[in-house]
Amino acid sequence: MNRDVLERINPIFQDVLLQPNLVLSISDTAETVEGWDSLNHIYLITEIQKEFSIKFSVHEVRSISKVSSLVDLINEKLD
Amino acid sequence: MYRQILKALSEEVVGLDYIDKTIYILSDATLEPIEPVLRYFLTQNGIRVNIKFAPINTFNIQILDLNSDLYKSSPDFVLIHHSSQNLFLNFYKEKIEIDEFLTNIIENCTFLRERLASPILLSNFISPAERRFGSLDRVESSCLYHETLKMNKELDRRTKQIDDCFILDIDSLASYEGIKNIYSEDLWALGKIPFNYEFFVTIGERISAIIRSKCNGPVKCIVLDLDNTLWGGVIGDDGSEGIILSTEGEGELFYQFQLYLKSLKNRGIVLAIASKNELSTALHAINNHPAMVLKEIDFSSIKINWRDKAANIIEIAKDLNILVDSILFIDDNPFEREQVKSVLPSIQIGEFNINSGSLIEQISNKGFFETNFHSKQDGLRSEQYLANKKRDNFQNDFQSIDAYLGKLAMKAIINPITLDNIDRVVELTHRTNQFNLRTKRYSRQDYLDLVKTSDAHCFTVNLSDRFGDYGLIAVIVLKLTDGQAFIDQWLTSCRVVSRTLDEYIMNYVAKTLSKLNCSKVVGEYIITKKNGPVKNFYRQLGFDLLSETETGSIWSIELSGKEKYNTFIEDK
Repeated sequence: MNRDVLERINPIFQDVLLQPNLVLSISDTAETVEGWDSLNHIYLITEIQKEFSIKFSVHEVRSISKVSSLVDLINEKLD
Repeated sequence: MYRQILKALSEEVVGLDYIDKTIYILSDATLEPIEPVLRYFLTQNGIRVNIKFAPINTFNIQILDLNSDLYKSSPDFVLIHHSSQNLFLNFYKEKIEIDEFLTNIIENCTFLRERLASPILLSNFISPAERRFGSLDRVESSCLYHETLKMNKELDRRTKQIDDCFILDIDSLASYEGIKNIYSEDLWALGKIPFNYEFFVTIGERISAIIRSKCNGPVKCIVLDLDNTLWGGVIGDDGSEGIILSTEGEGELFYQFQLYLKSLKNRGIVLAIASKNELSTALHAINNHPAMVLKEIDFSSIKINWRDKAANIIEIAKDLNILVDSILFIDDNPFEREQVKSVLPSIQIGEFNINSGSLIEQISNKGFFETNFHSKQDGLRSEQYLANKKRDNFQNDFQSIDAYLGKLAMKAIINPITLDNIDRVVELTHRTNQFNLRTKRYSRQDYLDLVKTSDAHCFTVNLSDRFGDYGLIAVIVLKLTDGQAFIDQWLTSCRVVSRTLDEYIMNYVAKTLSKLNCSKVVGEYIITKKNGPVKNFYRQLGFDLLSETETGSIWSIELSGKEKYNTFIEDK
């Protein structure tokens, strides 16, 4: 399940952060991924919501700063 | 679209020569998402941009402090934006005086323009969606809707008086996209992002079009296909009676499209045809079909044959003496568009599909026709090209170019720059790319300042001949220092090349300078991508080369006062 989600968000990160070769790992965080700043974060989440047809609250968007918590939250919404 | 833009930006782009421009953006909201959009669209037009943002809501600090980041960045363009969200807050919570608010904006623009040469793009206000009464909001002064309408009118009126300060009409972009489709409450809550990402694409595309037009000049000519473009169906198969074109019913779509094209022609955009057809069949339909709005005479160049379209477009550009990048090509066939684009990458091409709604809308709302200048001479352009055609036919009767020029009966008038001709002077300054020695894009204010300077001599030339009036076709600025004249500006319209105009002007320059006891003249050629045709301009006028670098060359000549350059132009 996590693999699936990770595979689907990886291209979004590649496009939004202008890094076509980026390979995201579950242990990555906003600190370890170059370009994952607060502004790009908002657009990343916008695209992720579209990809999975889900909706995060403003509070949830603000609280995400790790790939692992992002994946968990997506899974939670999908259930 | 926004994501596709980012994806495209992450891929390497090669080829093309670029010019570099800096855009400085001031806003009371987070406008940063516009950056990739501007980069994407401008790169396609050969403009590489460096985009800088002032910290949010720092208009006054940036503009009033001459040591601010804004002035340090020496931008080529300044964009000023006020968000609808903050206007809403100001109006309902702070109860600001709208007049005062507006005056502050205008004063900032005026102050900025006096200190910075760069043009300002000032966005207007997007009409709010909320209503307190309903339709009455439009006229009720306690309502934000009424006040927004009023403010936008005021902005139009007051920016018109500031040189090189233009309205970015995002209000009309918003109404085109639909006000309910352009905002996102979440984005505003998360980071004061005033629009959703798709609307950033819309605005960014429009701003890019304006900047492109300012840098490369506006679209001057539309090259049109015939079948499934000016009419529905294929003339070769369906015949003049079978094509879809009528004043009402199914063919009205094309009839309306032609009316619109005719209105563009009347405002100075020249029309041409590139079509794969039998010439006689196509011309017969053009001249005789009862619902044809555009007739043969409306087209300044017609290429109807079986050659490839790119070759025909190159011919059209040659006929009209314009550059391919000021041509918009309209063709319903994606294959033809691709072929043309691959051969002529700098040409403007719009998506065009006769099965997806209004044809007018498909080309009118993409910013192709953005221009900041409009003078009366604009409307005469097509007729002037027509007169050129007659000149060409006339020329064929002569053995030598000199015999031809002699019979043209050319007459010129030299005038100073005045309020009567300044709009045309500014227009010519910004339109002329090829026959422009230094490509100094002076604004209206720049010229008004120059005219007032005692050591500057500014003049214009109007030319006419037996076939018609060319109007004002040259602008010259001489700057006098220490008994020496520097040619600060010398530009001539591309429609009067090879007319011995430069020689005529030099005679005038020599005469004027000898009265002022000034004998040495220095000229400079600054290389741009487009002014190759005047590379040897000064050599041809007998100047000596003083120095030459990668960016241009400096020339000088010592006038004895007895020079007589050979010209076929006489004083009127």
